[in-house]
Amino acid sequence: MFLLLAIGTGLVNYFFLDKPNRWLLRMLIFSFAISLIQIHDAAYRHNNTYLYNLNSLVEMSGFAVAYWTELKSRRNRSLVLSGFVIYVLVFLYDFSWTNIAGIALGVQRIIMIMYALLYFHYILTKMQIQNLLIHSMFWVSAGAIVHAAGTLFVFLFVKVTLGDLSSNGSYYLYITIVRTFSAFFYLVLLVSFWLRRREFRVTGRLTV
Amino acid sequence: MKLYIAVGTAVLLVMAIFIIVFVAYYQQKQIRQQLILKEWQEKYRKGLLAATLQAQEHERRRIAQDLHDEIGTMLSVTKLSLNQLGRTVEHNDPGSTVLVQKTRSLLDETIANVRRISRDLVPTTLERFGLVSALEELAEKASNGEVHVELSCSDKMPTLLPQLDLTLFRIAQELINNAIKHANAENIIIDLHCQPTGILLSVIDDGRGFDLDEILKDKKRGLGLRNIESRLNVIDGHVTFDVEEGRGSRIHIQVKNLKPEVEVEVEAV
Repeated sequence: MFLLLAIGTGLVNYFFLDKPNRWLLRMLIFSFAISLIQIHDAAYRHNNTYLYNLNSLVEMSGFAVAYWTELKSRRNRSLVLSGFVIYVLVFLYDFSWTNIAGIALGVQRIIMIMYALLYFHYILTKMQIQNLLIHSMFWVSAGAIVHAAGTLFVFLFVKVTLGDLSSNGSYYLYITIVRTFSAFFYLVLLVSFWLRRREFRVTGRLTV
Repeated sequence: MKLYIAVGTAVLLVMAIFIIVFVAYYQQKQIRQQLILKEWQEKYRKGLLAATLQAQEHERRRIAQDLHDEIGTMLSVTKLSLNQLGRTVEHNDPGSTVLVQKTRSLLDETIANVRRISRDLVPTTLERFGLVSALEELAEKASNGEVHVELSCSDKMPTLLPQLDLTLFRIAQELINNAIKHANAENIIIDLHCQPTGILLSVIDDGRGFDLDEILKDKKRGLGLRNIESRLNVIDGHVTFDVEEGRGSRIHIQVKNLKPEVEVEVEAV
């Protein structure tokens, strides 16, 4: 539901979104399409775990492009690209049609944290943003870092957490944790899309 | 193992939140410091500008004083000597009388010029009788057969700070000079009015106008206009150029009639 709300907010504010936010919106739309396929597969009792892996690839691609467009310096861009290349290599190595690719998803979280830290470093050194609390990319990064920190260990130790469906019901606990953090992240994205609208207006007023 | 995962996740989350809070706090602090630094720089720049203008006024005053006290006196003494010489020559060499008379008239002209330059350098009327009188005098001096300068003024003009008086006078002087010299204006109106928000000085002419952007780009040509902006910067004033090539110019100066932060000393000669 939060995913749908975030997409709706993104579409409503599409005109005000900058390039990174538009890429994040595209990422959400792809994630939503994957979620629909997941629901469809679950309804027909088909295997849908590989879709978690594909969703991870979509999320990571969206993030990489968003940060690539936001972080202008050559050094930052090379770090973003390196992170993405590492992730793709791990993804190709760890991808499975029948299991959740825990290592790939774990690496995705680590690289998301790296991107967020890179962005924080960028805004602290550039000092171009007057009010950080209404800056949408700051909230995107904050949401990403919390989401990644909250779900990192769940995926790194995927065999313990999500590996065994019958292990005292822990699968449901951990999948709920993952979904909660995802919902939180979508909520943050929703807020950041609104903030982008405000930021756009404030910037417009300043430059006129 | 599950406990380790829970503890690890909790620690990571705390660290993430700490990083977010730290970044937000540190960035805001840096921005505040940057603003303070900018304010200081602006204040320093204004102070520097005020000091430059003050030094300029001091220098004008010194030159005027030197012209008046030294060169003026020397010329007067020279004139006295020439008069004596003239009387002697009249008796002994009547043929040279014409030459003495010619030299005397040249000397008179030089003395008058020195007085004029000395008066132009230091606006004594401004200091003694205020801005309106000084502008009246300026209009009168600038008017001749080809150029007509007129002053239009509010009936009740408040007494302004000496620094404000001097700034407005110098700006009017510069604008009139520009209108006559560069725009070939025939009619110039100096409009001085007191408004609730401050003082409004407008100089309107029917000259050939100019391209403001082009003038400001040229470092040599735009000196006078930049000087006006600098003077206004010190007293937080504004200038509006309603100008275009091929038509008369309207230049409006607006200043607040408040006590400014930096004051320029105005000394009597």
